[in-house]
Amino acid sequence: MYRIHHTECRLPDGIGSQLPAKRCYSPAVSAILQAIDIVKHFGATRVLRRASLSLLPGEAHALLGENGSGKSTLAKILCGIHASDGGRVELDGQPCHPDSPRAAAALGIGMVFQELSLAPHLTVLDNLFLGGEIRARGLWIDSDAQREAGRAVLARVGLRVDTDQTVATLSMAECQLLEIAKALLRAPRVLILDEPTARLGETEIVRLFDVLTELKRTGIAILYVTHHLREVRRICDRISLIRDGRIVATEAVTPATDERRLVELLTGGRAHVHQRARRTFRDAAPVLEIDDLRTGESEPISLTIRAGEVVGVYGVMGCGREALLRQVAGTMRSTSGSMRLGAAGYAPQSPRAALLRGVVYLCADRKEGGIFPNLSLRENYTTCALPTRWRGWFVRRRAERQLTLRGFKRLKVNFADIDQPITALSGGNQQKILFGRAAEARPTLFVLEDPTAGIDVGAKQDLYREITAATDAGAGCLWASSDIVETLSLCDRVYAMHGGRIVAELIDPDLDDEPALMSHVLGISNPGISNPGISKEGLHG
Amino acid sequence: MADRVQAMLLQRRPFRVSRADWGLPLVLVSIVCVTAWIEPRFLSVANLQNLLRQMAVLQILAAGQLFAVLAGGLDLSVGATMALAAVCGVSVMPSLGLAGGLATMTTVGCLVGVINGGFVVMFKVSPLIVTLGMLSIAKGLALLLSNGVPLYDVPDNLTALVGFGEFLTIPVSSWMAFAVMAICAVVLRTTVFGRRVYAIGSSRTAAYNSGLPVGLCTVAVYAISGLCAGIAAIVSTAWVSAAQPTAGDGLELQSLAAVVVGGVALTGGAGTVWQVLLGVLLLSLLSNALNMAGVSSFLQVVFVGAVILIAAVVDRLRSRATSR
Repeated sequence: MYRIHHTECRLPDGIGSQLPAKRCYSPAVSAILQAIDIVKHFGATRVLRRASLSLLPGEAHALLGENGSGKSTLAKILCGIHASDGGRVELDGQPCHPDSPRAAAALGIGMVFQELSLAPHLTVLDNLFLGGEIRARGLWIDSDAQREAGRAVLARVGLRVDTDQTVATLSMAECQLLEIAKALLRAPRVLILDEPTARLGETEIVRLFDVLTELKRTGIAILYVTHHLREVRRICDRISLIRDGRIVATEAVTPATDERRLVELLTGGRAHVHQRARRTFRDAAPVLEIDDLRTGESEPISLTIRAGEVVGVYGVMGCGREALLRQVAGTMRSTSGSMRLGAAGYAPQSPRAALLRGVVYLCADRKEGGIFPNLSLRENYTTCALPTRWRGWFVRRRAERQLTLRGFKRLKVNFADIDQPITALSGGNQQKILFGRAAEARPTLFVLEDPTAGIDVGAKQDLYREITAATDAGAGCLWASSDIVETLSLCDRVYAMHGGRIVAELIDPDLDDEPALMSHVLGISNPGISNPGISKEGLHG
Repeated sequence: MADRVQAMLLQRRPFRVSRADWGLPLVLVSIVCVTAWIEPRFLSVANLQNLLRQMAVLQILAAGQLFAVLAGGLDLSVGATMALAAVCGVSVMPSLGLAGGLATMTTVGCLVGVINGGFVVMFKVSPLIVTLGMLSIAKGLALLLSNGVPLYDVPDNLTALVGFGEFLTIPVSSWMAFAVMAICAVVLRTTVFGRRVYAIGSSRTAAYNSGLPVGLCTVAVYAISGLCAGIAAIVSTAWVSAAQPTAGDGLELQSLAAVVVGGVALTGGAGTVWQVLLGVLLLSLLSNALNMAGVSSFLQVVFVGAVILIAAVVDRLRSRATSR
C-alpha cells in the first residue's frame, strides 16, 4: 500500500543491518518513528485527540492541516518540546520520550521550526554549531573542523553564504536553509519540517526539494508539516490529514490523488484557489508612479499602480523586490529616481511619513515587525488607526470597541474576547488583524510583503476577499508574495523581477502564465537583457 | 476547534490584569500583620504618616521610571536629575522666589529628560548608556553648583506646607505623590500617547512599521521621567528643608527595583501604575518594618536585595505556570 518512489534505498548504519534494502518496497517495512494515540491538552482545550502517525525510512510524509488543527503540536511532541498527555511515541519499536529538543536530537529526531530560531548576532558558523560545538580537547572549539563540516553542510543545502557572515545579514530564505543545514549537522534519522517553504520563493523551494529528495535516498524519514497541497504532490510519498486534533486520513500520494477531495477533508468544503474577477484599469488614475528608482547599486525600477489595482511583484530571492517595497514603505531611502503618489511627489522618510500620505505597510516578519505581543487584540487593531482617524488626546473607549468588533466581524477573526492577548491567536488570525489595522487607516496604497506566509487556507481566502474589497473601494495595492499561484490569481498585473530589475510585465495573468512567469524570474527567457521591456502583452501605458 | 480555543481563552484572566495580582498584596498584608504583631507602634498614626512621607519621593520617581521601562528602555539618571533639579531650584529661589524655584526644578528635570530622549532617538544609543552618562553628568553638575554642600536657603513655608503639612491627616507630600501616580495612570490608560508607549515597548519595529511616531514618543517618555524627577525634587527639598547634591544617590536603582518588584516587565510593553505602587509599598514597608524591628540599616540593604531577587524568581515561576 505504500509507494516509495526511489529505486534505490541506502539506509544508514544501524537500520541497514536490521533491514534488507529490498524491504523498503514492501508494505511491511517497519516505521522509524511512530506516534500512537497521542493526546494533548492545553488547559481545557483538547488539541490532539488520539492522533497516530508513522514515519517510514526514506519517505517524506506530509502532515496537512489548517492552523489550529494540531499539526504543529503533534510535531512538537515528536521533537520533545511538548510532553504528551496520553499515548506513546516509539522509535524503532521502542518507547521513547524525548523531554527536550536536545534529547530528541540525541535520539536522531531533528526539527526545523516555523519560527526561525537563529541567533541573529552570531555568525553562520556559530549558529550551525550552537549547542553542538565540535570540541578540541574538551573545552575548546575546534574551529577548523567546524568550518569544514559547516561548509560541507551548507553546500548540501545549496546555501552560498560566507560562514563568518552574521545571520542578521541573511534574508529570510537563507535563514530557512540555514536552519535545515543546522538540523542536518546532527545527522538525524527523522527530520521534522514545520512549514519550510513559508518564506521561500520558487527557486529556493526547488532547491529545498532537491535536498529533501537526497535525504530520502539516504533513508531519512521526513515529516513535512504544511498548508500547501501542491508541495505535497511534488515531494511527499504519503500524506496524513489532520483536523481538530484527529488524523482524518492517511494515504499514499499518487498522480491520481484528488486535491479537491483532500481540501474538502481538511476544511469541510471551502474552495482552494481564489480567482479575481477580470478588471481593466487603463483609464484609472495612477496611485503610485515610480520612475527610475534605485538604491545604491540596484538597477533603476519604474512601475505604475492605478487606483483599484492589485499589482504583484514576483521574483526569487535577491531579485530586488524587498528593496523596492521598503522604499515605497519608507523604511529605506532611495539614492536616485522619483516617486509620485497621487498628484504630488513622494519620498517618505519613515513609515510614519508614508502613513500620513496614505501608504500602509505590512512587513513580512509578522512576529518581529507586525504584532505588538504584549497588547490585546483591540489595542493591536486600533494602533494604526488612532493617529489618522481619531483626533484629540484621549482614546474613546466605546468607539474603539465598536470599531474593533465591526472590523473583526468583517475580517472573520476567530477570537474569544477583544481584550485577550494577540499572541493567543493563530498566525492567520493575527495577520487578519494586522491587515485590518492597516485598512482602518483608510490608505490609498497598501504595501504588502508576504502577507499570506504561514497562514491557513481559510485565512488566506478572507485576506484575498478583504484586499479585493479595499481595492474595489479605490485603493491601490502593491503585492509581493512568494506564492506564485496566489500572485497570478489575485493580481491584476504582475511585474517579474530578476537581478534587481523588472524584466517583464504580465497583464491580467492567470495560472496558465505560471511557466512564463517562472522563466522570467529565473532569467531564462531573456538572459542579459538590460531593457525591462519583455512582456506578455507589451509594456504598460 | 474554534469554540474550544475560545473556551480555553475565556478561562484565562482578562488581559493586563497582572499575574501577580494577588501575590504581592498578600505579601504586603502579611508584612503589615507580622510587624504590627511584633511592634504595635507600627500601626500608630505617626508611623504611618512617616511611612507615607518616606514613600513619596520613591513613588514619584518610580512613576517616571515606569514610562521609560514601558517604552522598552530605562532611566538610570532619575536620582541624579532629582538632585540637580533641587540644587538648581533652591539656588535660584532667592532671586526668582518660591514659585520660580519650583518652576526651575520641574523645567530642569524635564530638560534633562529631553536630552536623554534626544540621544536615545537621534544617535540610537542604548538608554542604559545614555542615562548612565547622564547620571554622572547631572550628579557632577549638582556637586559643582552647590560646591558639594547642602543648600539650606529653602523657604520655611515650603517646608511647612509640603514637608510637614498634612491634609485629612495624610501628609501633603503623599497627596502630591498619589496625584502624580494618578495622572500617570490616566495618561497610560486613556490617552493615545499612553497607548503608543505600550506599543513601542511591545515591539519597536512593529510600531515603526505601522507608522507610529516612535522618536517623538521616546523623547516624551524620557521627558516625563525627568519631569517626575523634578517634582520629586520639590518633595525631597521640602522634606529635608535643604537641596542635597547627593540626595539622589541610589534612588535610580530603588525606583527601578520598585518597578520590577511590582511585576512590570523590564522588556517593556506591559505593566501598570498600580503594580509600581505595590512595588514602592513593598520596599518602603520593608524598610520601615525592619527599622522598627531594630535591624541594622546595613542588613536592611541586604534584605531589599534579597526581596528583589525573590520577586523576580516568583514572577518567573508564575509566568512559567500560566504560559503553555
